[in-house]
Amino acid sequence: MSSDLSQVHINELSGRFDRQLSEIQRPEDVDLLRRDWLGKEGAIKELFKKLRDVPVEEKPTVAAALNQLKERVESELETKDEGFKSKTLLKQLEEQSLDLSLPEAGAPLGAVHPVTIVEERITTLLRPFGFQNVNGPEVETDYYCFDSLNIPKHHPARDMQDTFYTETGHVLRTHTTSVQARILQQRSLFENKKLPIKVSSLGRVYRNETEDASHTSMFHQYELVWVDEGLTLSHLLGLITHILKDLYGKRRKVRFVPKFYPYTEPSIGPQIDCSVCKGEGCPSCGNAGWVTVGGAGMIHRNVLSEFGFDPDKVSGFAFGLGTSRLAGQMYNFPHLKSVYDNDLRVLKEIV
Amino acid sequence: MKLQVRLLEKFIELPECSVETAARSPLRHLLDDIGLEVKNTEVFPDKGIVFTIETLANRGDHLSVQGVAREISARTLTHVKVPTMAAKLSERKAGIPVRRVTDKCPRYALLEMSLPHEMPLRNDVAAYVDEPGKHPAIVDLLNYVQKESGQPMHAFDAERLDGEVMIDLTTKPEQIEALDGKTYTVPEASVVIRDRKKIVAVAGVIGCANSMVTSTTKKVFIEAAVFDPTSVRVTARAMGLSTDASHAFERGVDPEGIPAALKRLVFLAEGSAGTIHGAESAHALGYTYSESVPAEKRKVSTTLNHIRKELNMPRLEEVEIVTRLKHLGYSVDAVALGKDKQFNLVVPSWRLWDVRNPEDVVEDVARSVSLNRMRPELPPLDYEAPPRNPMEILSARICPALVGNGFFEVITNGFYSAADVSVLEGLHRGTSARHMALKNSLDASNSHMKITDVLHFTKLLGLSRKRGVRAPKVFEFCRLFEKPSEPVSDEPRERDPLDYNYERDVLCFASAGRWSDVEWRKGESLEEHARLFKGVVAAIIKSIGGAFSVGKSEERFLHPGMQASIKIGRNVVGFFGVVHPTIREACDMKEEVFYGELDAKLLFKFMNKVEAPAVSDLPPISRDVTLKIDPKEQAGRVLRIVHESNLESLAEASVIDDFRKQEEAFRRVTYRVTFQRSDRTLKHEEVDASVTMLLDTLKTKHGIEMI
Repeated sequence: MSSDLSQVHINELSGRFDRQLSEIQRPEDVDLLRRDWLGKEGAIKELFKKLRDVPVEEKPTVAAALNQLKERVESELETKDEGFKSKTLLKQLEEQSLDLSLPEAGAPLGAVHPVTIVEERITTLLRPFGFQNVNGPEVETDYYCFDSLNIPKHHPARDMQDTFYTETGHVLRTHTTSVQARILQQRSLFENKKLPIKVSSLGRVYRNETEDASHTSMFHQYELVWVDEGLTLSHLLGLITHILKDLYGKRRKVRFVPKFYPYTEPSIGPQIDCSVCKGEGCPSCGNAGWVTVGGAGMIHRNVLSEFGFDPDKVSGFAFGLGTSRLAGQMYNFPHLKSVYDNDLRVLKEIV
Repeated sequence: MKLQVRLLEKFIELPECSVETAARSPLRHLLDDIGLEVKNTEVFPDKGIVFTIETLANRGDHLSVQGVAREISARTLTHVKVPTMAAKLSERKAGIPVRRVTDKCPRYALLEMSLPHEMPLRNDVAAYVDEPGKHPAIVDLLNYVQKESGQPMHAFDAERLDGEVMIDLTTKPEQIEALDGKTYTVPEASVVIRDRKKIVAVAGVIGCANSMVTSTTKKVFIEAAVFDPTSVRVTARAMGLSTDASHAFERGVDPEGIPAALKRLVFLAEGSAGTIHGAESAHALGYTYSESVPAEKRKVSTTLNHIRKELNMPRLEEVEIVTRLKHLGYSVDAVALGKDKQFNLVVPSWRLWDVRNPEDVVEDVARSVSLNRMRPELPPLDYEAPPRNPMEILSARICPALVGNGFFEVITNGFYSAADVSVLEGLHRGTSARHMALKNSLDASNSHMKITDVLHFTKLLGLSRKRGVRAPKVFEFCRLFEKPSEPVSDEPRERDPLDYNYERDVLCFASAGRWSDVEWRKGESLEEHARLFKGVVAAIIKSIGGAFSVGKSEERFLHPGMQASIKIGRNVVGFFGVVHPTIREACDMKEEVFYGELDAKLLFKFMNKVEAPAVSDLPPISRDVTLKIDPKEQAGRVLRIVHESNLESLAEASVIDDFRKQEEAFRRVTYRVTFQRSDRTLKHEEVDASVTMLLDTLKTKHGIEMI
């Protein structure tokens, strides 16, 4: 066997590699050492060339020893490389920094209006019952806003809703109930009186008032209408209770007081216990302990008849909520007008 | 209505209500529960507890203590005490004839009474009269009896009436001097009471000074009548008056209540001598009663099972229902109807104004039983969710794009003032004619329906800046209104969801100040703000699955040189740009405002389903070309030409630079065109050939050259 490939010589080479490796101080010297040992002209390559001169019976032992040396050199060089890289990275990390306490850039998120939030919440609540949202005009005729809803001209009930009249002889809708009239008519004239009718209408309504903190000439309502066979007053009470408990919380108490609306009979006023005094009575609830949150009732037979529905076979109910008031209560606006102040300093806190 | 608890107690036994706890007393809750909602509670040393009650517009019978007592009796099942009254009125007719020449007065009674030299008010009446002694005692008595019974009455000084009482209609507007000393014009077709020479009262509204009683009046004619509610209301409104009498007549008084009210009056007037030492009595001298038709005996029927079903109270006893209805004044005849019971009811005269149908009876039972004793039952759920309407769909898709870009939703008024309209008219003659004016607005700032949100938004952004908001950005889904140039039919028609006659749904959005809220960063230039604002337009259109381009626009409320239309395909769906300086000045806004408006109906029409696009993993090849562009030319128009040139394998084209040297009469706009295929890798030679072809087209067809 060639003395160059004796185990002794291989051990010597290994020792020499260890010494050279230990002397390396700079990362670029690792590459030089790699070239000297593993390059095309490197020491290990040269040894492998001489393997062909080794007797056949010794070749496996010698080859194994050479491979072992090669693997060790590769591994040690890799380790040395990694060592230098991590030192460099550590130094780099120590030197770099970013002040993340500085203000964020870009436009912060905006938000939808609290009234929209309330509307979406009610819509989500009503969808499982099959209520479909529909739109209607805000510039209405007397017929849809009053006459068809059992509110004849000169009836005292018109006092309940001070009305804007346009120069074209129209009115600004005083309630979303006008949409109810339109839907009943559509269903009657164009859809063969198909039942059930389950719709909700929401949006702006107008009252001709002198504006102050608690009176605005425009505000929002949300109304649902259900017409079908077999609907009763107790169904209406059940649905309202469900809605109010969901909106205000299950622990809140709900009660009903008789009311009068020309388009419903019987008419009811749903109330919840006052959130300020918990039903004990305080100035904000007029010492009643209760706050009215909407109006409701069974659709008046005159309204059903007006649109061709037989009130002896078909019944229906309607429930309206003041979404502006509801938004005010939910977000603690001091009064109705402040809901419509559009103060961006306030709205950005209600994201 | 003011309700004295002490007076109510004279008519019915009441639940506990002490001075200390009146506002939270069982009586107060009972009143609320039967539909007589207490709005205010006051305690007076002389009158005791007084509730202010909100009465219902269809219940004239609630405008009396007896009416309230009846409602309580149906709940508590105690009986209403009938007040003492004179046994009869008079055998003789009143001293002057009564003529009714209009059917708007179905009942009219005239009671002639002599008054003593002095007639002090009885103590048991004086305690319930507002400011006793201010008016002659007979007037106080009339007011008191109205308070008890709900029947308005009026006293004429007999010596000041000339010859007769005629219930007449005016044929032209006439002037009167009323009891309150003011002069009013009574409109045409109003019911009035005349003697032979003059109007002495406006029926159901107010008496005239020419026949009013004074402290020296010796003889009076007391009028008690039933007037047509609508007629009274129209007249009172036209005169700008609302009196206790008109309030009652408008809601309907008991058509059979006249004799009882007058008998009570006679009892109290004649009885004064017996209750007050030394007092003389008044005496009834004559009585005339006239009616056009007998009072209706209205019949309504319903069944036991119907009431039980409506209230969801299957065990509600027949006897309870019948008893409560009788306490309300119904006469009830219950007859078997198979396994059910039919109630044949005769409606009490004081309820003829509001009870007509079975539902009214159900309401009366529910009210007397208490709505809160009913068992609410949830109707069945519908497992099929209904389709969403167009505005819901648009809002759900667009709002995140706006909110994500820092826009806040606001809600502005639907109208503005005449001064606002003048500003718009100043920018474009004829604009005011497009506005729909309101005829009766109480507030001058609400005189016209808005045709644009640009005024509200500019004012709001200006206010926000003054409030210290650095980067105000707002949006609103709202309606804009416009008076049609030609008449529009309001006849019913099959309607699309967003189809209206006088209004349209729009999305408006605006920004001012800096784009980013962060103060330490430098604010954007106008150009940069414009690009950021345009980015929001892109985000909105992208959110509905579309792409847009801009075109020329001539919106009068925007800066003429800083605006563009927003197009989807070839369809204009809106516009955006910088608000006109005149509007800014009118709105006291110093900074530039960007405003955009999109038509919701068109957005919905061009909305697309958003789907994952096919993408290529093969390498794209780009070429940048810088073109000479006229300073007035829109770089986007050239970009559209590039897009529409149908270059093979063109994947994307965009503007990457816009630069102008001072000494050059043109802009240098650099476009990047990128080519890519998904089936094979493109060769550079192919791309270069395409670019050459593009440049040839630009030069030969559009006169645009490369630098």
